[in-house]
Amino acid sequence: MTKEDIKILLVDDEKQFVDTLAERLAMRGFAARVAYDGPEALQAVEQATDVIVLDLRMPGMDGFEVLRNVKKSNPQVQVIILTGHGGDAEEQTAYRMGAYNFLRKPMDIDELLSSIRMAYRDKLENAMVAVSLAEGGDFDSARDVMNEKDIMQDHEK
Amino acid sequence: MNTSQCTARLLASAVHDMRNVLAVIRESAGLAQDLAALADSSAARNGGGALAGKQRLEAALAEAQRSVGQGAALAEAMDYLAQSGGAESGEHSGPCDLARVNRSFCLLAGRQARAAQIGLVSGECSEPVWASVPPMDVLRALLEIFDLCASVGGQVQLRFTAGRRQKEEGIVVEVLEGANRELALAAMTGSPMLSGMRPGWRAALMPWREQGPRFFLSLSACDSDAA
Repeated sequence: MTKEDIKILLVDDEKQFVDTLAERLAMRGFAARVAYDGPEALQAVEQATDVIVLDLRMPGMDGFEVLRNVKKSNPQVQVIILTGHGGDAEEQTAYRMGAYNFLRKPMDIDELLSSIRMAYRDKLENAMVAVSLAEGGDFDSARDVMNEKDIMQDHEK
Repeated sequence: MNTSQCTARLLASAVHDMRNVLAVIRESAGLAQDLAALADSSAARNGGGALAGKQRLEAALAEAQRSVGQGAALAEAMDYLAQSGGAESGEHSGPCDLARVNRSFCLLAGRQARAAQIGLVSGECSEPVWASVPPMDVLRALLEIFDLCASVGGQVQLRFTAGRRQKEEGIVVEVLEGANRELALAAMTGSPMLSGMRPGWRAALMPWREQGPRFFLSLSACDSDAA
C-alpha cells in the first residue's frame, strides 16, 4: 500500500483550518477531499472514501448526524472525530456510534496521520476477514464484519 | 437560568472557539514550517514554484497572526466573564459598560451561535454606556434572548447595541435579517419579561416600534418578590 491510496475526506465548517490541513496532508502525499458541512459530506462520501475526519459541531447537520448516516450507508468507512468541542459525553457517544477515534483540536498532524493510517489498516483487515469468511461460505458473518453490525446494534439498543 | 449555567454555556462556547483558533494557528505555523523546509529544494527545481511557496508562506503567517488576535479577544472576553462572576458574588455589582458586555457576549457565544445559524453583531458605540447592573445579569438576559431566537430555528442575525431610551440605559436589540426573522420577532414580542434573572433584578424586552422592528432591553433593580 502507498500512502496516496488512502481516500480521505475532511469535514469541518472552519474553512481556514480544514483547507490548511488538507494542504499539509497533500505535502505529505495524502490527497484529501474537503467538505464544509454535513450535507456536503454525505454527498462526498458517495465517492470512494476510506477515512473521514469529522468535526462535531457544525451548523445545520452536526457531526453525530453525519456519523449516523455514514455508518448506515457506508459502514466500512472509518470515521475519526476531530473536534474543538470534546466533552467526555460526546466522546462516549461517538465511540458508541462507531467512530474509530476521537481527537481534540488543536492536534499534532503526525498524531492525526497515525490515526488515519491505523484506521485504513483496520478497514483493510476487516475487508480481508470478510473475504475469508465469504470464501468459507459464512456470508452472514462476512456481512456483519463489513457492516460492523455489533456496533450499530449496540447503538440502536 | 442561574449564574453557573450561564457561565458554563458561555465558557463552553468560547473554549470551543479557542480550540479552533489554536488549531488554525497550529496548522498555519505547521504549514509555514513545511514550506520553509521545502523552500531550498523548490528554489533549485523551479523559480516560479519558490515564489508561489513564498506567497503561501506569507499567507499562512498572516493567518496565524490573525488567529492570535482572535484568540486574544476571546481570552479577554473569558477574563471579563470571570470578573463578572466574581463581581456578582462580591459586594460591588456595578456599574458596568453595556457596550463591553455586548462585545464580550458576541465573542463568548459566537461558536454556539454559529451552530444555531444565528449571527451575533455588537453595535458600534462611540463611548461606554454605564449602567448600574451586574454584568452577569446582562449576559444572562442576552443569552435568554439568544435562546428565544434559537427556539424558533435560528437563522437570524441579531445586533445588540448599548443605548438609552428615555434616559434609561439598556440594550437595543435588532433582528436584522434571516429566514426566521418574523418568527424571532414574534417570539421576542411574546416574551416581554425575561425569566432568568436573579431575585432583585428584572429584565424587560420592550418593543420599540417607533424605531422600527427593534426592542429595548431594560434591566433594573426591583423588589425580590416582584422579580
